[in-house]
Amino acid sequence: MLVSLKWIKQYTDLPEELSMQQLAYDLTMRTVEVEGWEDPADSFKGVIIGEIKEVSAHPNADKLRVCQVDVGKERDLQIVCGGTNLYPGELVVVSAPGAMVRWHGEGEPVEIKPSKLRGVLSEGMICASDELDLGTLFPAEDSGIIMDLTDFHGAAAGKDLADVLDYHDMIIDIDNKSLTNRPDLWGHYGMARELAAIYGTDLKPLPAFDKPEGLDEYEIEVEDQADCPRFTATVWHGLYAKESPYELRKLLHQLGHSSHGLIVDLSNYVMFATGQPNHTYDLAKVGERIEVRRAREGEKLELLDDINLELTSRDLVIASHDEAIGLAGIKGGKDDSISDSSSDIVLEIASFNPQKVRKTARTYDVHTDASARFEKGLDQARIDQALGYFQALIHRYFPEAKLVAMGDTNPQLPEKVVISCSTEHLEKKLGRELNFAEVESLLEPLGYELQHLADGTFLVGVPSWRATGDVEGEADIVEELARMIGYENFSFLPVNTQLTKAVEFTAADFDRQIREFLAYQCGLQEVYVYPWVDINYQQVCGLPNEDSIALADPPSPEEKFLNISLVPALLRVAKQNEGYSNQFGIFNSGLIFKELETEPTDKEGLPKQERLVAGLLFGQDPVALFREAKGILELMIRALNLENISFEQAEKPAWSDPQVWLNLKDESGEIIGQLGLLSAYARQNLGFKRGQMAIFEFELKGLKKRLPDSQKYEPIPQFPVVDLDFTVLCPEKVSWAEIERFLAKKVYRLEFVGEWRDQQLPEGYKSLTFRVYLSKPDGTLDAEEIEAKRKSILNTLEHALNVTIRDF
Amino acid sequence: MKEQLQALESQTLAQIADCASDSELNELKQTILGRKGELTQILKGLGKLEPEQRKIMGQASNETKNRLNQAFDAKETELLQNKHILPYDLDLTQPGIMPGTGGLHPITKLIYELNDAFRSLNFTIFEENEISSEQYAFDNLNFPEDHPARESMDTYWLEGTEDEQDPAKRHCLRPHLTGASVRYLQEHGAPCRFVYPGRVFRNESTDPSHERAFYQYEALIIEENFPFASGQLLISTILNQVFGREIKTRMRAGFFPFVEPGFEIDMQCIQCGGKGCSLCKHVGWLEVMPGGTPHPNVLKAAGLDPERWTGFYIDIGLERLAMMRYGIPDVRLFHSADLRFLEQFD
Repeated sequence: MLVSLKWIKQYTDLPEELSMQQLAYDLTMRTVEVEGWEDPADSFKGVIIGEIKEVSAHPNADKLRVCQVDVGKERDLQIVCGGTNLYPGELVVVSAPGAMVRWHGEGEPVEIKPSKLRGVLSEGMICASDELDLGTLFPAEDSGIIMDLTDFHGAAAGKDLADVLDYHDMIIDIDNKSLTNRPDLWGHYGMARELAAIYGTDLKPLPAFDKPEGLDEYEIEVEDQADCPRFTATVWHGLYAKESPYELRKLLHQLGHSSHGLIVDLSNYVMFATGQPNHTYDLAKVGERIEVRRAREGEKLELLDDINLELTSRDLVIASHDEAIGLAGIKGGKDDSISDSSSDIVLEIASFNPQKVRKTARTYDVHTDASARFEKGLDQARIDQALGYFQALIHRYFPEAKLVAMGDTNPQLPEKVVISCSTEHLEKKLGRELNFAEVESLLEPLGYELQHLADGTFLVGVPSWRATGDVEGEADIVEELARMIGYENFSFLPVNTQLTKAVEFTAADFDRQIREFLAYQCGLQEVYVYPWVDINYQQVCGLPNEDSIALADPPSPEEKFLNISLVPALLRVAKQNEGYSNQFGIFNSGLIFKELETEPTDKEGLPKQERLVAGLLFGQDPVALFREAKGILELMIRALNLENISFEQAEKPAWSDPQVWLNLKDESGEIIGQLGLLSAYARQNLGFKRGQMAIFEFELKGLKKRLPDSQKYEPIPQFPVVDLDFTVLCPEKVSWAEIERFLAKKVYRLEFVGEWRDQQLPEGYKSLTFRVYLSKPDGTLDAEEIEAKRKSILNTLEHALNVTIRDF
Repeated sequence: MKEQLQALESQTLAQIADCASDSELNELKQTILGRKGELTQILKGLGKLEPEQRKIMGQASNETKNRLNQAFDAKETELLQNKHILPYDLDLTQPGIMPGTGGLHPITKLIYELNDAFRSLNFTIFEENEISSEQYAFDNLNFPEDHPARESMDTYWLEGTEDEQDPAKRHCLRPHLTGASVRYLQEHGAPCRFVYPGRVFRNESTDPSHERAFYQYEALIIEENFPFASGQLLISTILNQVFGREIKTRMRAGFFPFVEPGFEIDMQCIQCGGKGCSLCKHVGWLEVMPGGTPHPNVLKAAGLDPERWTGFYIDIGLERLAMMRYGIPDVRLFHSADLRFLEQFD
């Protein structure tokens, strides 16, 4: 929102030495954020008034003229200009070298420099109003018309344009977001009140409404007072279409608004002064009665600015003669608002339900200065303030006009909000000493009324303009005091603490241990994924959407369903990175979402949300990838001291290869996760070009920490350990687990080295290499003992599993 | 013979000194002290001497032998000490071979850093699920019934619940963390102090400064006596941890439904140090977080008596902090899962 400092100063005399920087700082610290400020005169630096002495033809161009212009300097300037309204004696606006001008009213401002135009020196520029961003204030019929100030009061050759136009002010830009809870600040008078309180200056009263005797009653019917707590209509005779005086037009222009004739400008002026929107209707069209009611389904209304709406019963309208004439609190209708031919008007000043206004404004995307204010919640006392202000302005600009009738549906103002406070409470919350006199001196300038009670507590009467949802309780008073004292004037107070016990171990810590393990011990990169993923990834992974939770308004139609597994999301990440790297490992710890399977146990009945951890290894060798994935899980059990997890095939994950997959089971046999290679089907359908993927996924809550003292020391062998490698011929169906089962007790340690398949092997056999470590508790094994062990191992394997030594 | 011995010794010592490798040294040792070595040959000649002479010469030649042996040993040690493992000079500017790559997401790292800092202040770490209800996301937080943030334009409502009348049954991806603070308070009561990192969601179109999913970090302390000026502790803990130095901050008036008094908290611009630059739009300060005393209605929703309890609350967006810390220009990079981005922070 833009506000004019000059306007504010009409209502309070701010300290003379106050700089704009200081004002912006104080306002930002105490009230609302100042985003910037600008003196509108600054855009006219180097722009002066010139008097044309002579106009002659340009030797090389038919459309250009060569002017000799008196700019109050020792010599005249020669300026080439294409204007069609140049004549000797004309007072024009000259941009002297160094001034910034918007060329033909378009693009970014450019600096004026002396230059030759078609061979003739031009020492500046004679400006059209558009070129100075003054197009709406000094409208030109066409782009050939330059700005003629010959008849403008005070204009003379050599004077600065800014002085002549009385353009000096400070236009302050306030962040609208910081104003949302302060409807009182949506007008200059409210800002003046706030600044007067900050600087201890007096706030001048606004003209009060003077209701003449013997007014006719204007009939107003409000269907539902909840929609419209108060509606006033005043009928004024003897107005007429008239251009606004320059001062008023200039002010509106500087704040970014254009002029629409004096009556509408005054209506807007009252809004920008008090924050109270209002609207003027043509009495001849509106007639003797106004209704405020819900629109009928399908009722049509054409607003000003040619906006055509088809309304519903959720919208609130102003109506007369049984027809909607305006959208309540937002915009007037085209047919019944005042026009150039209006002489008698009906002025509406009312208050409307903020929610109603906001919803309708959003529904039709019609946002106006009025709706912005009504949405914040305006007090009803402000209606009287606006009425008084309008009356004073009418009196000034249309002295012959008369107020002849008035209707007011609810002149009785709501009861004042009163908050009970005690200095003791306030001191505790502020962390600072305070006495009643100080409280009074801080709050009264803001409009609060204080009443000291005998028991040391006191009552604070909240001014109506702060009582529409902003100030409600003692906490709000604490804030008012703190900000008026100035937050920068409170210094840090140390926090007292009572230590009872160390912060407990939480699920968050466990999650962290897993993540750090995967990242730092396993070398995987953590990635973040959205809770939704492209439906194609879910379908290819065979994850049914019937069980998925969906978003009502998803980021895209394909991203409607929330994750029930992290695998599709990790595959998407892999797909995305496939082009940059042919080997990588990633993981994510994230939530998945499912409908509750049982009746909710609480009122909310939120969906099931579980944390899963999933990893994906991308590379070229599928066996190595699978073993690496399995190895990560095996190491995790040890590294994090978890209860044991077993690997078994029980329920195949839909995304996995038909053969290479395993479930993870906890000690009670519950499935808590899976790992496997990505199926050829999924790989091809997702368009992976190279690489294979091993994937694991498990429920975080499926992992159970063992007690720290459950891990026990194993004695280190006293005597040397001997290692022996075996390469054996092994039937394909014999698994490592079986070999392990038979040999575990015979050896100190057993290690899988690898398995191979080659042409020389008999059909149905693989070649397996493993290593055993042998030891004896009471000495070093000698050659004979080692050989005996070796034979025994081979013997066992041959008899139990048909596994023989490979000797070719 | 004596001359012969002396000549051999001095000649051999010179040769030892000239030896450049252990093989050369061994060869020399063989030619002098080996079975057919020169000294051995001389010693063999001892037998032909007179006993008297033999004794003298025997002693002299033994001494020579010992001295030579010592010289050989010393040279051997010297050569070993100077021995190169490689037969060529290694290019020492070759890059190192780094152990396994991999690492945590930069936001995760930031969360853990902050958790550690707050843990040192005896704060608990609290985490909650991502789906919440309107009751917790808005009603409990003193958001007015018609607050615009509730509308679907800003919040991801779950299909099938979006038209529920009961706010507890209207479910959404949480739009902010603050709602769950109430859950924590309902469960644990007061006094308490906890931090709450987590991801939140906004239904909006994305650009370099807007994302649909991002992380917030909340800290809340509830005490019987906690003037708002003590809230500085929470603010400094976060900012000093993130930037590794003392960061100047200020609190100014700000409005948020769930705090009263509410603050906008600014930090002195890290780029210009407060002098004014393009980053801080020439004001010298950057708005970094809201904060304030929990609103009485929020305390009531948590089952706490607002007459008795007070405290301080802050909430900070982690992506923005990380962006400032690392100079990252686009918030969408954090959820991009682009390894070329993530690996920069490993």
